[in-house]
Amino acid sequence: LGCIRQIRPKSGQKWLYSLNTAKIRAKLAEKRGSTMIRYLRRDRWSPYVVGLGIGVLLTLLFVMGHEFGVSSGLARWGQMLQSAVSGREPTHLFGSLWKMLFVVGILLGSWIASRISDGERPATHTIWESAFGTSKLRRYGAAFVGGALLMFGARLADGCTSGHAICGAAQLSVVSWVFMMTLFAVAIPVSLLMYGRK
Amino acid sequence: MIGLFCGIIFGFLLRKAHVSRFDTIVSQLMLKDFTVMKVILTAVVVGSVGIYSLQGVGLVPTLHLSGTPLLYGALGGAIFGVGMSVAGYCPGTAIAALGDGSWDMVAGIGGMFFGTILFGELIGPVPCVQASTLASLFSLSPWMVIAALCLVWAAFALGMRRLENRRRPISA
Repeated sequence: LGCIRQIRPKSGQKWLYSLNTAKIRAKLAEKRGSTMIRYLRRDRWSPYVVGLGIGVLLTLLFVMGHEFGVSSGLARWGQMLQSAVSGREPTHLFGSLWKMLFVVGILLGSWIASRISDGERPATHTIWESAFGTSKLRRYGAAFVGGALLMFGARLADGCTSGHAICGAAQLSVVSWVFMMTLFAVAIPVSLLMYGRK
Repeated sequence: MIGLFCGIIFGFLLRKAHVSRFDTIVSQLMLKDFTVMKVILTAVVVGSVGIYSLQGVGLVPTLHLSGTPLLYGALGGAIFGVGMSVAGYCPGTAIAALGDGSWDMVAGIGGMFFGTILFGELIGPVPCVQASTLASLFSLSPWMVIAALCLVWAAFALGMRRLENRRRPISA
């Protein structure tokens, strides 16, 4: 309103008017920008919003002729390490260069999100510590064993949570739904047994 | 470069849902918190609608269906499930967790490399069969299956809302 009152006495002068609209536009942009940024900085988003984002990302990848998956990209990095150490190429290569970059991107993206978000960092392992104590060796050992099992299973099934449970399931692939069902059918009782007693 | 960019968005989203955290994933597996299911189901519903509708218009060149035999899928899922309980992550969220400051995932990713190499040495490539979809299995149109999925998702989201309203402590 303040802007309009200023124009009235000199309504014939065009430059003043345009100056004022520019000011209003700038103010609007500032307001919109700040709500956007406030949302970006918020520690936690609704899981439905994140799911929507992943679904849209998945669709865009398909339009570009790519597929979506983490474990094969990681497997390719593992094989690269293996051939660097042993000096011979594995007979069967997993994944592609594209997926290797995708994996690096996840690390970067999560790091960026973590830096700009308000919440606490680093993440805690409350449930683990209440069941198994704060021993670092035990946690790192479990992470190693768990990781080895994860990759062995993912290579056997040719996919992981992203490749099967999200990408495959969205394509209505039967083996992906079978994978997801057995994954939860096994992981839920095992977790309840491991962490649920205390 | 597109791969890197898409990865950044995916990692960003994972962190924003807190699925890059041990407590979120294990709470899901202990059925205390359903964040992981909410993310996966929403992504599947949105992705299936997006992929099949854009394929109908000819914008999606090919589907990428896995031809892994069902037995391998089930066996792999079972081993994967045990690993997910022990590590507290799946491969994608493990990488996101490292970016989020969970240093135990250095060991986790080391373990994943070990698992890959072990698999490559012991078993090698998995056989491939004709891929099938839920639509071709029941000889339905994919849109019937997607409509059913949407209904499942809506029922799940409504059920979650009721559950969370009931759990919230009522203060006077």
